[in-house]
Amino acid sequence: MKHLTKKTGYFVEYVALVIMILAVWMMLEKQGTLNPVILPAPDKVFETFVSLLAKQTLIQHMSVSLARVLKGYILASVAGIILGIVIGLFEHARRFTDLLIQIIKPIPPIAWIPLVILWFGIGETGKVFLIFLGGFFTILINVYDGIRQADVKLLEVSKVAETPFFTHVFKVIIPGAAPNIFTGLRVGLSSCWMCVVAAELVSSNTGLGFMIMNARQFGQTDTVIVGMITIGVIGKVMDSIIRAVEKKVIYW
Amino acid sequence: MAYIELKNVNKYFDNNGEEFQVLKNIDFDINKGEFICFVGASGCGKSTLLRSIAGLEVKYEGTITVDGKEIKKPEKQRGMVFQEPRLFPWMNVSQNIGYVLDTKDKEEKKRKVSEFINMVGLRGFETALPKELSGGMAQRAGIARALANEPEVLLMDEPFGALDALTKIQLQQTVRRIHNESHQTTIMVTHDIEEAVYLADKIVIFTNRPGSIRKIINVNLPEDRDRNSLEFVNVRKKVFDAITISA
Ligand SMILES: Nc1ncnc2c1ncn2[C@@H]1O[C@H](COP(=O)(O)OP(=O)(O)O)[C@@H](O)[C@H]1O
Ligand SMILES: [Mg+2]
Repeated sequence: MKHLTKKTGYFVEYVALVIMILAVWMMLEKQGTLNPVILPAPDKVFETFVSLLAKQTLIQHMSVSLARVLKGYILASVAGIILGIVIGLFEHARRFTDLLIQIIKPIPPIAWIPLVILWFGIGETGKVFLIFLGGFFTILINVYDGIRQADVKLLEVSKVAETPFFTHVFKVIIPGAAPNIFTGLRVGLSSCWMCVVAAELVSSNTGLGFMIMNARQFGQTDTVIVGMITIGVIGKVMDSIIRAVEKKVIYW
Repeated sequence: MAYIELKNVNKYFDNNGEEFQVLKNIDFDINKGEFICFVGASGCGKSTLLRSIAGLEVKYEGTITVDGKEIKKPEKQRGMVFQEPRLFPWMNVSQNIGYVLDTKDKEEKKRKVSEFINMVGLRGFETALPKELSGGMAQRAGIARALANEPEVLLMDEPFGALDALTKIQLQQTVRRIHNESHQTTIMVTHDIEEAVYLADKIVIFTNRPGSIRKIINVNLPEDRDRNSLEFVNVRKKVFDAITISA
C-alpha cells in the first residue's frame, strides 16, 4: 500500500507541470483576456482536435509525416550504426572520415533544404533524405563514441584469450557500446521529427508540417496547436517505445 | 634452458613527456611447474612485469622468453587473472567462462565450463549475471575463466587483494589445490606475505621503484602447507626480514 502511494505521488509529480499550465491557460480564457487568434481556448483546441479526427484530416497528415520519419529514421539508424561501428573500430577509418563529419555535422538540416529541392525536387525522396541527414550524424557519432570509449580492461580479456575478431566485435564491442547506441537512436529520432516538419513547412501539401503552415495562413491557431501537440505526443510515444526496447535489450 | 627466462629487462614509462624507469635489470628464470610470487611495495612495477610476461606490454629493453620463444603479444597459453574480476556484465557466469574457450564443440565447451565452475565452487550460479555476484564470487569466476583454457602459464595480479579474509583463505586453498593437481607454471603478484609463503615455491622480492630484484627466497615447504607450522612461520619471518630490514 505504501508502495502504491509512493508511485501515485511520482505520477502526480510527473504530470503536475502540464496540468498547471493547462489550468492557467483555462483561467486566462475564463477572464476573457485571450485573443483567440493569438491563443485559442483549450476547449476550442480540443474541439478542433475532435473535428480534425472526425474528418480524418489529422490521421492522414499524421500518417504521411510518420511514414516519412520512419523511412528516413530507419535508413539513418542502419547507416549510422554500421558506419559508426566501422569508424569506431578502425583508427584509420576515423582519421579518414573525421574532418568531413566534423564539418557537415554542425550544418542544420534546414540549411540543406534549398540544395535538396534542387537535387531531388519537392517529392518524397528529398524529404526522406533530409530526415536521414537529421538522424544520421547524431546516431553515427553516438555509436562510434560508444565503441571508442570501450572499457580497455575488458578489451584486454579478449586479447589475452586471443578471441577471433568477429566474436570479439559481436560479443564484447557491440554490447559494450549498446547504451550509447540507444542514446543515439533516441536523440536521432527527435532530430528526424524536426527535419520532417521543417521539410513540410517549405514544400509539401501533406503532413503535419504542412497542416500547421496551412492553418497559420488562414489564422487557424487552434489547428496549429493541435498539429504541434500531435507531433510532441508522437515523439514522446516513440521515445518511450525505444526506451522500453532498450530496457529489454540492456538487461545487465 | 629454463622454461621462462627474463634477461636484463628494463622498462620505462612516459609521464607527460618525462621518462621514468619502472623496472631495472630484471634477470631471473622460472622453471616449468613452479609457483612464483612477486612481492613488493605498490608502484614498484610488479603488475607491469606480469603484463609484460602476458604480452600486454611489449615495449621494454631486454628479452622475455617462454620455451625459448620471445613474447610478442598475448597468447591463450598464458592465462591471466586480473586484480579486478573483469567479467563481461552482459554475460552470465557460464558465458563469461565459455567466452575464452575456443573449442567449436558445444558439448565439450559445456563440460569444461561446468568443470571449472565446480572447481572454484560456483555451482548453482551458472546463469547469474556479474551484478548479482559478490566480490568474492566474481573473482572466482575470473579465476575459473583463466583456468578454463588450461593455459601452460597462469598469471595472477593480486587476485585476492580486494577480498575479505575468509574468502581470501578459501580461494588460496582452491588455488593451492588446483596447482597441486595441474602443476601449471604460475606467477602471482601479491602484497600478502603469508599468502606468498602459503602458495609459492619461490618468492621474488622487489625493491621500490624502479623495481629490481632484491632477493629470491626458495620456500621449500611441502605442497600441503600448515600456516601454523614452525617451518611455515620461519619462512614467513625470512620473507618479512628480507622486505623490512634492508629497506
Ligand atoms: N600505462 C602506464 N603509463 C604510465 N605509467 C604507468 C603505466 N602503468 C603503470 N605506470 C606506473 O608505473 C609504476 C609501476 O606500476 P605497476 O606496475 O602497476 O606497480 P605495482 O603493480 O607494483 O603496484 C607506477 O608508478 C605506475 O603509476
Ligand atoms: Mg599492481
